[in-house]
Amino acid sequence: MNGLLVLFDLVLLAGIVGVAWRCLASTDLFRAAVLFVTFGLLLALAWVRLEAPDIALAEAAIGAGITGALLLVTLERLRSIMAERRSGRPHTPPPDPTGPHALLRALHDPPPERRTFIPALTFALVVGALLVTTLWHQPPSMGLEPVVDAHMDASGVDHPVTAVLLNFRAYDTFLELAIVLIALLGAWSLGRHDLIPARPAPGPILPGTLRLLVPVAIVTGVYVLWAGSHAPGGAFQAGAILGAAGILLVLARPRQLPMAPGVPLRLGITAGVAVFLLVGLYGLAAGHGFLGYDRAWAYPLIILIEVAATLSIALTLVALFVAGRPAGDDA
Amino acid sequence: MNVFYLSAALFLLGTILLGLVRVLRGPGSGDRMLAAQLFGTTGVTILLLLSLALEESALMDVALVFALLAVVAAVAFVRQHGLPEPPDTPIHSQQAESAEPEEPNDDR
Amino acid sequence: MIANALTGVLLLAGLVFFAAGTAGLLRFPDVYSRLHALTKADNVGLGLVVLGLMFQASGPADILKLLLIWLLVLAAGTTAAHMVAQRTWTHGEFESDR
Repeated sequence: MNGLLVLFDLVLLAGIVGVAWRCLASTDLFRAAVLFVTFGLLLALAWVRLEAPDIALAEAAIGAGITGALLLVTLERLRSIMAERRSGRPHTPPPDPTGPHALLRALHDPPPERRTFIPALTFALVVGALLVTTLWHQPPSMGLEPVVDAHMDASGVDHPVTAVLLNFRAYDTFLELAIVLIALLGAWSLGRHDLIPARPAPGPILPGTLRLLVPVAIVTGVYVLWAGSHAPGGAFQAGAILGAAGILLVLARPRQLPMAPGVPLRLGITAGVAVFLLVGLYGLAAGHGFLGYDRAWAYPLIILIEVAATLSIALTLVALFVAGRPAGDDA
Repeated sequence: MNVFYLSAALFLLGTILLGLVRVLRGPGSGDRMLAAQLFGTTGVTILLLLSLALEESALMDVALVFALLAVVAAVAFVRQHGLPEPPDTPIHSQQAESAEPEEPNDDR
Repeated sequence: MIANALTGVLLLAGLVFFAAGTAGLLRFPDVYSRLHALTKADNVGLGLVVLGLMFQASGPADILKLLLIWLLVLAAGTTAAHMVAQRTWTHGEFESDR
């Protein structure tokens, strides 16, 4: 059985490297996007084999689902913008490698020249050799697992990953949530979106299926959030699932989407960072240090932070998909 | 039994790698999308088999999440984000037949 | 013992359908027939595998979770196949290998 596992891992590795190669070398951007979705799936399997089901959950939700949707929608938007510009011009402009039409040509381009192959291969070999020699000489150690296990009863939850993310190293998770918020602010600073028009589907299949899938997605998201305290799961994964449900609703809108109310939307998006900050300051005021928990209050505080973080991440993902701050309420 | 599950998982991984040919070659975008859909389902099956072989019950949750999110990419492909179709796609060159493309009526 | 044998048989049957789905994906001439092949792998292949794994489940929660996974893939796969076919139909990207 061990041999079979090794064989499985080797085939998986070959698949990952092969898909990554074909994705980067692809001349057709749509094919590259689909290969990227496949890459996300194989990477989720790799995380499973590395005994990290939490990351596999996050990779399945974000890498294979949401990022795939983002890439495909962006690609279509690019094509139609370029086609509008192209059809509006009275003359054909000269080929310009950095101009706006370079993107359109990149959709169907000849393969890259051979000159970059040798330096790229040398670089890959050197980095690979460095990695192998470094990892070979690592002293064998158990890592932090015994240390974490020794302190599990002080953490308030039963799952070591959640304990590390939200108790022992809560500072890192707090900063990660802040980074997600900053990413959204960056995307919002690029433009605003107008009212999204209705686009009723030509048939009952899509609305009917979404009527089934979206409630199941919501329940699954809440389940994954709750399961994070004793099994793989947690706020990021739950937020990604709920965000995917929101993206489905945005994609399949039978009626015009209402403009998101400005203040509640912003409250929801900042809720994760804000609640984390408040809990941290409360810990500081109560004498446990910033983001320190009292042992009895650890579990409720962790749940509170996770609920706020889930809401924030879900709203942020949908807002990133809609891509543009809501028009009409610029201060 | 574990050997059996792992062999089945290995076989399914092989079918994914074979199906990549369709993603690489498939002339239309629909071919590529449907291959990705098949990879999603095969991935769910591999995860279920691994959850039994590695005795990690959390992998069933991963399979559940995968089954849910496999449809997001397909829906995104079909329902691009609401911009009007560019004027040089074939749908506009079929104006002679009808204002809207005909759809089969027998499965409504 | 009997459970293991049943699981083995059902898993093998499911794998046959998955193999048929991939073979159809590679060998059929156009999008619509490939969709036909892949939905067989989706529905029947996964259904047989799930049925086989139900005999190995450790409790009713696991059995229901397996059933839910199958129903979700059923709904998602069917919708995706329908929509891809509809989009190919309306956008005229139909290319046949024959």
